[in-house]
Amino acid sequence: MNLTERPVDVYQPKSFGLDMDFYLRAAASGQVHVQQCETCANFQHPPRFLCSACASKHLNWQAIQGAGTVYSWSLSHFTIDSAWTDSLPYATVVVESLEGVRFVGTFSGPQNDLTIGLPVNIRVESIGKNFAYIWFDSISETSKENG
Amino acid sequence: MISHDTKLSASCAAVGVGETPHYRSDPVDAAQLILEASVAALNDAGLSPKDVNGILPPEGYISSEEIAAQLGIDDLRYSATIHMGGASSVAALQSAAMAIATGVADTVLVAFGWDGYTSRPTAPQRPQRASRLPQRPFAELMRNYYAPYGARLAVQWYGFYIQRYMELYDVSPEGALQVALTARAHASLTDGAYLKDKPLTREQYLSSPVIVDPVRRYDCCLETDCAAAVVLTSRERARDLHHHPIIFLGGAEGHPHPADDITNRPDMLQLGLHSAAPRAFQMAELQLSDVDFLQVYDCYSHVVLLQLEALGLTEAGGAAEFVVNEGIGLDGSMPVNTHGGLLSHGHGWGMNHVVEAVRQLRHDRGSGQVVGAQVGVVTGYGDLGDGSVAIFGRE
Repeated sequence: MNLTERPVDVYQPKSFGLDMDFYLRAAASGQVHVQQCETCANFQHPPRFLCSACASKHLNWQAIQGAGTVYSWSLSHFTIDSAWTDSLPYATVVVESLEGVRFVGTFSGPQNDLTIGLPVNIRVESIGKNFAYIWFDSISETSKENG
Repeated sequence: MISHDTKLSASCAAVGVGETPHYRSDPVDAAQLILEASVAALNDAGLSPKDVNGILPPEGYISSEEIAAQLGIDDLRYSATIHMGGASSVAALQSAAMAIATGVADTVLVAFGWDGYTSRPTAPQRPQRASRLPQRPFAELMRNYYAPYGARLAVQWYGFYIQRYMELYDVSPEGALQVALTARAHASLTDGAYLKDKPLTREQYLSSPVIVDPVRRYDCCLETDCAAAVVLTSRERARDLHHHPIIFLGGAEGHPHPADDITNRPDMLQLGLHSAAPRAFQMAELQLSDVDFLQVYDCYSHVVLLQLEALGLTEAGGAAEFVVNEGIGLDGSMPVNTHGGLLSHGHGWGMNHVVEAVRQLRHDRGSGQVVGAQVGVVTGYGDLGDGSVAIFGRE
C-alpha cells in the first residue's frame, strides 16, 4: 500500500515554545530546521532549552540537508484516530537524517519497500502557518520522476 | 558504583499481599478498588492500618493522603508517587525499601490499581478522571511529534522498536506466540485470573488480527479494572508476623535516554531495564542462574522478549529461541508469568506480578507452584521504555 497523500484531518498539535518554533520555521521555509549547539556543534531534535550533549544554552536553528535513511517504523492495522481509519494499514516512519537526528513522518512510497537503511529525502508539506507535515520520499522514486 | 547496596538489600520483607478481582463490565471507581486491595494486603499481613506509616500510591487515581484518610492511617511519615507508567509499581518497591532501610518509615503500603477497562481508549464514554490524569513525562512530545502521523497508542510507539528488533535479529514469530500461549496456560492454574477458563490455542492466536506489525490481539495485555497491593516492613518485624517473610534482596529502576522520546535514542533497543537489571543483581549479590522464576511486565508479548534479554537471559535477539527451545512454562527452564501476566491474568499495573512472586515464594500456589522456588524476579516496564526490577527471596 502506498500513501502519497496524508489524511485530510491529521491531528495538528497545538504547540507552544520551542515546539512551535520548530513548526513555524518548517512551515515558513519549506525546510526542516533543527537545533545546533554553538558550543559543541551537536544537532538535536526534538528542540530543548539546553544542548543535550554539553548543556550549553547557545542553540541555533539550522536547515537540515534534507536526506536520511529509514531507522524503523510502526505499521498500524488498528487506530483510534478517526482521521487515519481510511488509511489503514499505514506506517509511521522514523528516519535518521544526515545530521544524525531522527524524525517521525510518513513514507510516500510503497510500504513493502520499507527496510532499515532505505535512503530517503525528507520533505515538508506546510499546512497553514503553524504546522508542517514531514514526508519521506524514496530517493529512487524521486530520481525516476526527475528523469 | 553505589557502595551502600548491602544496607538496602535484605533490609525489608513483603509480609502482606492483596488484590481485587479483574472487572470488565460496569464502570468502577479505581480509588475504591485500590482501598479494597490495601485492606486485603493488611489483613493478609495481620497488620492494622495504624501500623502503616508509609504509602506509595499510583499516579492519578488516588493520593497517599486519601488512602491514609480512608484507612485511618494517622501517622503518615513517608509518601511518594513514582511517574514511570507501568514500571511504577515495581520501582515503588525500591523506594519503599529505601524508606524502611533508612528508618524513615517502618511499614509501607504500596498499592496500585486503575480503571483500565472503564477508561480504555476505545470506551464509548471515558470517565472524567481520565482527563484529569497528570501529564505523563512524554505526553507533550508525543502529541507534537508522533500523533500527527497516526501514532497515539502505546503499541504504536513501541512498534518503532519492536519492528527494528524483528528486522535486525530476524526474530521468529514463534517467540511471541509462546509468550502468549504460556501466559494463558498459567492463567488456567490461577484463581482470580480473568481468563482462567478461556484456553487459547495456537490456531486462535494465529487467526487473531494484527494490531501493529507484528503484534497480534493476543499479544496485547487485557484492559481490566482492578487493584493490587503489598505491605512491606522491616526484616525484624517480619519475623513476628504469621506468613513466611519474603525478603527484598535487590531492586533498581532505569530510564532509557532520552526517556521522553523513543526515536532519538542512540540505540532504540536499549530499555531502562538494561541498566537497571545489573544493578539489582549486584545489590542482591545474585545471578540470573540463582533465580527460579520471572514475572515480567507483559504489556505486549514482544516487550517480554526484549526484557528477557535485558535481564541477561540471552544475548540480544536470542529470547524467542530461548522461549521456544528452553521453555517458560512451569516445566520450562525459566518459568515466566506464572499467574498469566497482564496478557491473561489481568492488567494490575504489574502489582499483580509482585503479588504472584510473593505467593510463589511462600509456596502457596497450588497447581501453579514453581516447585521449591527460593528466588524470584519481578520487572516493571512503562511509559516509553522505563524499566524497574525487584528480586525477592525466601527468608
